[in-house]
Amino acid sequence: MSILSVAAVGIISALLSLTVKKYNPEIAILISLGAGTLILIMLMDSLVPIIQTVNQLVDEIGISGDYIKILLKCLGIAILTQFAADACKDAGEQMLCSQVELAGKAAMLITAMPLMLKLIETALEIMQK
Amino acid sequence: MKKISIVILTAIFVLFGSMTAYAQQEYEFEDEYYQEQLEASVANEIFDSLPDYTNEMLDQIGIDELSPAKLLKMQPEQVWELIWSALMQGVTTPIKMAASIIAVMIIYSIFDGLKLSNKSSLTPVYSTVSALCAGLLIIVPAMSCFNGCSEVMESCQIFLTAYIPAFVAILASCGQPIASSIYSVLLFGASESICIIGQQVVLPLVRMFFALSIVCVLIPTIDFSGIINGISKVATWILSLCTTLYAALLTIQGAVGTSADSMTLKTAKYFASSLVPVVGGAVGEAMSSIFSSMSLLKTTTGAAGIIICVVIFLPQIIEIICFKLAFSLCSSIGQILGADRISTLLKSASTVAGIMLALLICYAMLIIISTAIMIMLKTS
Repeated sequence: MSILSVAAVGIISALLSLTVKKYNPEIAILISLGAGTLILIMLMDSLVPIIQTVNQLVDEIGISGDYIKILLKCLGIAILTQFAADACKDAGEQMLCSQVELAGKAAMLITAMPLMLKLIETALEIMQK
Repeated sequence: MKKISIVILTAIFVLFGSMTAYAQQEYEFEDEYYQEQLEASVANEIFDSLPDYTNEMLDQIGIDELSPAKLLKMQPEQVWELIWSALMQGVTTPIKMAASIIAVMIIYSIFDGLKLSNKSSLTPVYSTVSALCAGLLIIVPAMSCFNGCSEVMESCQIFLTAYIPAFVAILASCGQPIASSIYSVLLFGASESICIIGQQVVLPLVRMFFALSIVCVLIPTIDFSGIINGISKVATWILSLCTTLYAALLTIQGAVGTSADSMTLKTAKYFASSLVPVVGGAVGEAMSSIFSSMSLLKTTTGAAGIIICVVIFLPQIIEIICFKLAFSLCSSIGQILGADRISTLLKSASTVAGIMLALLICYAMLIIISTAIMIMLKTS
């Protein structure tokens, strides 16, 4: 990811969206969404080395990578949810934004459910000793 | 020319012809009398009461029997190697744990840095998931370490059951029957009390609050760190106070007991000298020399007891210190990365490690101080 290209995509799409907004607001939203998706894809490319480094660290120290995998899944869910929620907010759909956020939170909690169960189980085991 | 040649020859002779002289290396303390007394005191059997890892560590520093020569031969390098190997064994799990927690915090900081709007409602949920993950990574190794403390205390209790009677018998045969009985009663009582308090009160309490504080990462409004800090402060104060009182009591009673022992010895010597005809003086002198020679056995057994105690506690103390350092380090990193909930959790874990460390050090110091006082107290 080059920050120059990200900045260029951002500025051009913002100018384009502002120009189009006066005549056709629907197209302006589409332009914003498209630019946002493009930036997100570019961002994902740059996140890959960081995630690879974390995975490498986990492999090298020999700990179970299950917890980290769950955390990374939650990170993906959070980023996508936030992106979708912001897009809804930009379109003036506040209610949809809240629903998307709620769905995102629920998805994160469902993904983290094994962690919760394992933690409670371990804590109970410790307290019963 | 002749003088110059003599000077050169003398210089060559002094520089290259001199012989190197070394001080005598072997100490010949183990005379027949010492061996007889050692066998009679069954003090060597204390090694059978030790756990395998302690015996292995003692072998590493060359102490496999109660011998003054072996104690004197102990080198600083051997001691350093022992500490180093204990450190290497103790540091592995905390490093793994710290690395995994740091990985979790890095992922959290990626989320925190990438949040698309300023007031993200997803932050609390993601923070909870990260804290859950960190809690799971902490709870298993930390509890295994805290349970190890309990095991070490049990091992030490078994060692003391074998050691105290043997050392007390030697003290009594050195002419310190009253001081030895004080040592026996006080050390048995104190070690038993500290073991019971540690295993029945402190450890379950700490275990319970630690487990609760980890589970409470699910509910951010409940914070157990205050209670854990309170327990830590109270426990540290009580342990310090008890150790100080114990040391003071043992010193005072030991000093009085030793004076009483000295008086008894002198009276016995006086009676032997005055009541036994002809050889009375010789009997009195023989008594004194027997007591003096027994003091070598007393010092050796006492010093070995201190070393064994250190070796029993050393690996666990090093492991807890490593855990405490790992918790504190990760907590600081968490604060830097903005992972406040993980940081609070790690602070609680660090405080719990501090309580366990204080308990172990107090127990070890109790035995070391008591034995050192008994070694130093001598009948005149």
